[in-house]
Amino acid sequence: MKCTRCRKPAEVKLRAHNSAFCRACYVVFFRRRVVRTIEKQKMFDGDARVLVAVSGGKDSLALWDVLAEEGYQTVGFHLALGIGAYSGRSLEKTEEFARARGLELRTHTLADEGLAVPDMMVATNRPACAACGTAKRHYFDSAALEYDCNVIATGHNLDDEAARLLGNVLRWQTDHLARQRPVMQPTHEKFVRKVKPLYLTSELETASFAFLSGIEYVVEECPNAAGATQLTYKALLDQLESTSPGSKLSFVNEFVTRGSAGFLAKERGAAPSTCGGCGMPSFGELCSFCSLRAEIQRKQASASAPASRS
Amino acid sequence: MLRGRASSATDASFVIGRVEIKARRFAGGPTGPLLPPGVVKVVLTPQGREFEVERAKRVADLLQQLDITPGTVLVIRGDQLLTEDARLSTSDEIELRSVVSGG
Ligand code: SF4
Ligand SMILES: [Zn+2]
Ligand SMILES: [Zn+2]
Repeated sequence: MKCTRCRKPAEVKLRAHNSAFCRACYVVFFRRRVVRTIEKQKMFDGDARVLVAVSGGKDSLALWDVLAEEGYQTVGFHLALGIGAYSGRSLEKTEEFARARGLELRTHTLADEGLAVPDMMVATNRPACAACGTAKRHYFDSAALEYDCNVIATGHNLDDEAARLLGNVLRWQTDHLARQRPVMQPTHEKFVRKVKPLYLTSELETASFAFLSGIEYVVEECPNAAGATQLTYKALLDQLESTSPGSKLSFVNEFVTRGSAGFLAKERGAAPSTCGGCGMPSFGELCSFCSLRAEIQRKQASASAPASRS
Repeated sequence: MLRGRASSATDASFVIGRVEIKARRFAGGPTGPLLPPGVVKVVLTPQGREFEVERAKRVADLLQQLDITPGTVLVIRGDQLLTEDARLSTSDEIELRSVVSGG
């Protein structure tokens, strides 16, 4: 197979785009596509300071690579989740990436506060991903504030968005559909805009880009991801894609351009108060992260306290 | 077809690209005996399973034999990516790396 652009031997074939690329042409194609998405969706401009949420996986490192190479000002932020060897390797890959490119990386370690994801799971008796998601949202928001960034970029890709959209549509979760957008505007002055510059690039595209640009990423998955419903949706969509290339792209793209406007977000209004724990905006006395933390600390204290008899 | 060394192969069942595969595991290892002609060695990552596959002329045949949906793995030989029409040759060592992330 030959490169559609220069006729050299191709390394990547994208059926959804009816094209094949050699290494050099693919890297150019991918970067341009991400930049065009950022510009078209008005995600941010050259003056922005972008907090890139980096996990050490292919998507977030590919995103960081593109943003840095294209001259955007970035700060990488890695939340160390404390999920055994997986988290250890994730931090290692992220640090190596930043060091090799001379990029600014900030990290926060959940275990420092006794909040490693496995510990939160045990204390709350709920799925790991619930507490993990709450912690990520909280730390991304507060890191943007702390490091003076005006936008948060995450590595969610086309497959992530398509799987999430399918899940939301299957249950007609209109409130979730209203919030599934590639650009989320802040609802409070202490929050910043959140964007997904890879929402139109598939996992195959980001993985190919990472490999061909020599990015060393964590190939293994978070052990808690196994069996997630999202993987079932992804498998269904991949089968659809293989018989009808471009399905995922049109599913997500058409939703964003034509469908999503029909689902109006029920605004909760500006958050009225300030969290007593962390100072971030909050709907109650404590924000959802601080109440989670309080719940965990209460349970951990009662579990370690000697049984008292009266 | 998939082959495993009669004496040392073990049945394996695992998931790659979210497709259940039943296949026989390659147990020769790097120090094992020389492969018969027409056999391609395959390693699946991140699972780390190894197989030998015979009669796979092209990448597309390999994926079909392993029941892997095209587009769910990178097909890596050395420092290169292979497209589905790429020819395979005897003693090729191929990494099939899942591109799917979940959670
Ligand atoms: S899969 Fe792992 S990293 Fe992802 S939300 Fe769940 S616990 Fe967190
Ligand atoms: Zn080319
Ligand atoms: Zn708080």
